[in-house]
Amino acid sequence: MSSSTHHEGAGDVLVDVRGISKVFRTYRSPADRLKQYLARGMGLGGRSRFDEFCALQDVSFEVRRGDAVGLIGRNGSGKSTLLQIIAGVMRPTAGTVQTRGRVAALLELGSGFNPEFTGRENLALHATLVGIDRDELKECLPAIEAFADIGEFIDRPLKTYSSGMIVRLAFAVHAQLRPDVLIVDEALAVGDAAFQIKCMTHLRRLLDRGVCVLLVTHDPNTVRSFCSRAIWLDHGRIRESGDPRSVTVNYCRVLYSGEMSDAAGSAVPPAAPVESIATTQSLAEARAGEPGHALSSEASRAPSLSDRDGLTRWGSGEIVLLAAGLFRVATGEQLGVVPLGERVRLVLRVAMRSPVRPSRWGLGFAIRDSKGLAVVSHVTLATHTELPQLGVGQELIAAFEFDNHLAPGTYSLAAVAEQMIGAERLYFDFVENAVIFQSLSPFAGFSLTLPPVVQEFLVVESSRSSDAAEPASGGQ
Amino acid sequence: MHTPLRTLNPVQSIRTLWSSRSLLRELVIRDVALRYKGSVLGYFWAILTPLITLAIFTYVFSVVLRARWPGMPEQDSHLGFALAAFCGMVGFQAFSEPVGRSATLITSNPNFVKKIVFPLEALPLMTACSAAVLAVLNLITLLAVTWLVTGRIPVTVVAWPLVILPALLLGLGVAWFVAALGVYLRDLGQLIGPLLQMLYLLTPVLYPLSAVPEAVRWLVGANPLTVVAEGSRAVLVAGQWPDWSMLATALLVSVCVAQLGYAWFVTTKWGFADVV
Repeated sequence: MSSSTHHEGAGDVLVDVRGISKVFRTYRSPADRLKQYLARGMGLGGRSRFDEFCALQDVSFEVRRGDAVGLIGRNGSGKSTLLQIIAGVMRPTAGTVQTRGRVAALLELGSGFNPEFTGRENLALHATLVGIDRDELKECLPAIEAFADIGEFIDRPLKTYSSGMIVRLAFAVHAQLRPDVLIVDEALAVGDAAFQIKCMTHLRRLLDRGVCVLLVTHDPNTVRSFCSRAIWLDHGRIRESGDPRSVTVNYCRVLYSGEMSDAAGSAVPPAAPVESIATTQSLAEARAGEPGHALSSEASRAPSLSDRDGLTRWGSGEIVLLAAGLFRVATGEQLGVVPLGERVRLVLRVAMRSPVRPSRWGLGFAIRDSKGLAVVSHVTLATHTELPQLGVGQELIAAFEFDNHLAPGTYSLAAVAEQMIGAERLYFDFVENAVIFQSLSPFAGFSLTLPPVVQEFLVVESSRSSDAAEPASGGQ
Repeated sequence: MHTPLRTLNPVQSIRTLWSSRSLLRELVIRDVALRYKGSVLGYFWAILTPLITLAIFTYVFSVVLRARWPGMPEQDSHLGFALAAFCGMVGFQAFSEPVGRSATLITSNPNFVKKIVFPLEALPLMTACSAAVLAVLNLITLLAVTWLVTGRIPVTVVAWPLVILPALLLGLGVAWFVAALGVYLRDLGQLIGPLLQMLYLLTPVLYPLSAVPEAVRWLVGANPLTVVAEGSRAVLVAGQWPDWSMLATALLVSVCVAQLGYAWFVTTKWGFADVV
């Protein structure tokens, strides 16, 4: 049980979390809380004046020197509460936390700042708060200014800053610290890309120096690229912990597929009898056997687009999108996480609600990255594909097959049903965030897409003629 | 873990507070600066506000009410009464400043509670230190005016820091208590203003203790703030030494209140993060 039995020795454990539970009691009024304290103090049971909410239940783990642990989980899963307890801001209801060495917490950058004072004036207090005294501050002020990189703003009141600048300034102070344990709570999600890279570089340098880092993030890719271990918190419990790759894959699978909608209580679309008309390009030929059957099976499993949160949709509504889902071509399973290079099928189900003037109509989709940039798009009107004319009450199932070459990240797929009247494009139904999925890659990407590239190498003797050269080649 | 006994040990309390002195210094600098920040006249207000108060006191008490302060010199000048009342007010403010701000002190700084590791007990201490700075600024104005009017400053002024100390310590202790309680009981924010006003009128600030009826004088005299107000007048205007035994008693009481307030604060502060 005791940590000293580990062969590395107890000295390596910098954070030791044992059986942490946190129960929040929600009282109808703060005075009720006081009454409860007093009643308990006088030994009276009395009636309970609170509802209990269990934010953390029996959470235990250790963090060793040089570890980078990523905490992932949905909103409200207890991540921030856990970090607050480890940082010493909050006390657990049960269990113990032991930390060794200097603990620095980046719970919310810039939260101790006052908008009336200049950046430099705020630095004075903030530096003291994190343990840099006046003389030390004088020494490292140039370094702070260089890291923050906000120019003359350092001498202007903080209220004139953008939120990104405040974060820069606060992180610049923290960058001067030499902690043993660093706790980061989604603090780095703000700020521009260049600054984020700067922060990550700094964190990596700390890791190399033997600092252990505890990081809360929503982004599975940060965990995969940065952390040596991932802990997945779900409803206040550790659901899975270990290799960042497998934990994040499982996490994303749950987050973006069925389990979330189950939890949200939204109904799975009924597998109603459909007059299926499988069309679109060479799909039918590509899939041997009964393409229609496979399609309708997938269409019945595709998540419904009615009454789901986070959807933005508009359009005239004569034809509506009923369901959309991504499926692995090889196995037909629904995907929330798509490995790089995987062949996937987007299945859309649309229905005609009211008659429309016969016209050219089409379906399409666009895949946007987390910054909103459309990386992939495809519309049948552009490829001059004739879609069958539907009657009222009829549904159409369409599938689009493509290889996933998207760089690692979170993507949002917008689906559309549209028509052309003359040169004008009119939307029957336009659904943003119809499918949200992750692209995962075993290697880092530096571009928006990572299409397969054939590699070939040849070693030649530069002094001799090239006929002595020995070819060496490798695939992707 | 803070055991209740340990929080009641004055040596331990002072040691804990001493360890965060550099933080306290920054907090006080910021707090005092914030008072005048952004105003056109800036730090000039530190002199202007006491002068305005003195002017109003002079007009109301000496001109309108023609009140005379028994046993005070300089009764010929209109300023006599105002100076005597002002002395008492400076003493009372050393108490009322931290207490008045305490009820909402924690709830208005949620970041210090939840977002950063911060010794929260330093916040009420900060308001007490700011009040001390304010008292010194008021004293300087008061002495300047006294010197201009009478041409001399009594030597008993040197005892003033000791005279004002009970008010500061008492204010600090009550501020710790109210600050912690105010987190759970928001009503205190409304209640504390009227209570302080009542105490202001019941303490011999605008009148001498000798004007209080014999029957209740012992009760008013038991108020440590009475000792501060009377003592301030003695050392600053009358040129007399304070009543040392009364001062010692007041000091003892205020130290006890400060220690109890501190103990209450540090034992209840772990609940703050759940409420704020």
